[in-house]
Amino acid sequence: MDVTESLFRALTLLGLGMTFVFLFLGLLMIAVNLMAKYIPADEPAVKRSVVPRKQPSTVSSESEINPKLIAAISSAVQQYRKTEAA
Amino acid sequence: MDGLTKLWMDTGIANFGLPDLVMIAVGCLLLYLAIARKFEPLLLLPIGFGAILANIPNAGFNDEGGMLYYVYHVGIETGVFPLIIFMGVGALTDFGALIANPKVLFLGAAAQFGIFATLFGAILLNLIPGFEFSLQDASAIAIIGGADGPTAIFLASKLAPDLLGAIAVAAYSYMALVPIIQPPIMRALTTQEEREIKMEQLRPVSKKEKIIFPLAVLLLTILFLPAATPLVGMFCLGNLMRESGVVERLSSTAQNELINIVTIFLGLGVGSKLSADKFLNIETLGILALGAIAFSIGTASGVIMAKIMGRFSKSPINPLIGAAGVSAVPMAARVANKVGLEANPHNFLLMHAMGPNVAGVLGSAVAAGVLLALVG
Repeated sequence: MDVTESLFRALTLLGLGMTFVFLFLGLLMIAVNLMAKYIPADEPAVKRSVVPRKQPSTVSSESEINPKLIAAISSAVQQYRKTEAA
Repeated sequence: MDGLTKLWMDTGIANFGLPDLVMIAVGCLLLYLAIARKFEPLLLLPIGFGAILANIPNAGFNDEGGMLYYVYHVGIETGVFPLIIFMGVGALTDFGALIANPKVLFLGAAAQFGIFATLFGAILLNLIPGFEFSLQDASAIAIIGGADGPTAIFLASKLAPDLLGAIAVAAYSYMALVPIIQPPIMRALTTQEEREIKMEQLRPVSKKEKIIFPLAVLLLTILFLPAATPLVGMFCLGNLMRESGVVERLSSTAQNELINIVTIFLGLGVGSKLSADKFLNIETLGILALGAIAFSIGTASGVIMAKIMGRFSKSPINPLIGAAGVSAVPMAARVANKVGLEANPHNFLLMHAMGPNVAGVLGSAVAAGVLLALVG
């Protein structure tokens, strides 16, 4: 293959390639825009906490309170021990 | 006495030829760049060491039965290693900025112009005696302009395995040089006012959109460009693992342990291709030069596209983010952010630049698919 022929093929590749890349990503843009239109936005604070833990709601609320509760109890215990020691 | 001669003939000193020594020096140079200059150390360190191992006389690393021989044939010739890395990159990529502002997909597309323009350069080099690039070779070299290591290695392993070492080294070196190559081009093509443009804040993106996005990309690839499905498919798999939120273990393995393990072997395998007979020729110099041109053209076309889009867009677009359309995640986005901050210290472009940056990854995978389909 001589150089002019190769250059011509490169030109075809350039045209085809760039057109295709633009078309493909353009279609993707349309798809993303459609998604933005039809898929409802996340409601705030919905993430994760609701979906898997819906049924055992008492357990989940307990596990959410637990850290605070533990902190309160442990500080109370510490206070108590201090007064005991004194 | 015979035994002594035999022993002497088995030493490295007796067997070194000049080409071996030069290639070991190249390996040491890569190690220096990785360790002292911190140039893509994760890859250049194993590549450099692999280059040293591959050129030790009588060690047989590269001969059939040698370790590097198998690493190369199992992982790189088959294309498996770059694809696994691509899955990890997918698991590391957050498409939020892109989904929030999908227009920037065009910036990622425009920056691929560097790839196709470089084809001409590679073919024109054939006019100089000493260069003999076929169209396959030219395509594999041009993909350096995509600034995406795994894509470059994947395409080179399919189209021009003989040039793979030089192409991989050029691709990773230029990715490390992004902060040096890009800013002058970006400054030359934009005015001070353009660099100061502030962009609107991005909308929050819902989890559902993030889950559907990789599936939509995959669907489009299946429909229009099956040749790109190895790259895009693995990338989407990684991204879906990340966004689905139900396979955290797999996602974290893909982003950490797996990508790290494969990086070691990918580097060694690429290094094994840096043997004297394949690397020490004038074509390597040509590849290095063409890589730089591809990269610069990609950056420039991204910036120019961003300027054109800014004219017609309702929301303002800072042309600097166009430069991030060459992949090189996240370095190119950081560079756009840095140049933007120089113009206006209160203008943070990082999130805006991440959009075209990840669009560039998709763009170069699509460009690689086009080249595979048309040239391969």
